Amino acid sequence: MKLSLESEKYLQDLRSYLFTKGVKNEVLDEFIEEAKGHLIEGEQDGKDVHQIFGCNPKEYANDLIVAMGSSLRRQLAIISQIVLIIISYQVSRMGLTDTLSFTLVEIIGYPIVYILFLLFVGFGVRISSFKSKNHQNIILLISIALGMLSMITIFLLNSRIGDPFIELSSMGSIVVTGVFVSVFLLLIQRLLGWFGFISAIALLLFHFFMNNYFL
Amino acid sequence: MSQTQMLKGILEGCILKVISEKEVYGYELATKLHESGFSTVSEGSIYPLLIRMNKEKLIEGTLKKSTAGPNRKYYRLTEKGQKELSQFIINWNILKCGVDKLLKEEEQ
Repeated sequence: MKLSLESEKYLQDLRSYLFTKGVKNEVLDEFIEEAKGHLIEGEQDGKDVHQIFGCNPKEYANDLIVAMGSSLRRQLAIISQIVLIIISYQVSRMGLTDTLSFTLVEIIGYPIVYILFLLFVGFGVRISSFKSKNHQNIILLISIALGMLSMITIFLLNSRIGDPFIELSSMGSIVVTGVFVSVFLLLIQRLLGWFGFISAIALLLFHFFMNNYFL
Repeated sequence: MSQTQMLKGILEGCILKVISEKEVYGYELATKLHESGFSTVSEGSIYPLLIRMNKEKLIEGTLKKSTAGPNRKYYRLTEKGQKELSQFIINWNILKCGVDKLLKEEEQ
């Protein structure tokens, strides 16, 4: 049985809103499954999503958060995990193709802008929940643009102040690359499973062979 | 106090009562409550309560396959839930007697 587009959107918005508030994925999945079943039966009986879940979706979502429990720690853990994946991927890619060296902007600025980007997008998703599709697109576009702007600013700054702050020896570079490759693969495996793990290895090998044999 | 607020306050006890009679899933429970007079409370408002009661181990949920759509979560009462329901019935009777008495005096 298929749900109406309105109900589908309601569930999608509810999921996004609860996720950005730090509700556990397993709890979320279980509830969405249950709510979907309820909506399917309700629609068969001629009810719409607002008759079933009320006219104030944010108030309802906040009631659910109180019952399900959310934590700031979980939100921070998700953000730090994503930032660590991006950074470990960048360092692995650099280390597989060249001797590692880092500017001060790369060491301090890059992690900050990645966090900022995720915060902008996270807030964008939360604010745009339960709004019309057009409003949602505008809010998301603005939040992504703000995130991109902060990233471009820091990349430009890095290209201006390009002097290396830390330069590693060949051996140091191999060791650091090994550590970051391990972190990258471990986090990807945890997040996406073995398929993600194999894809990540393929991606790193692609960079390695492209840079060492073709470029 | 509005009717909705009064109904919400006793909704939890009534959910326990419905579940004590037989295992039910969300939609079935909402329909039963609606038929019993909780028509001003939206059906979805049972879920925050079910999640909290599940956490407090008053009820337990089991997923069962459904031909009508996604798997259904059937709820049953735990021993702790049974005690909670008994307590609710005692409290409700005390409250009901008090209110009935007051309203009767007022009528006379």
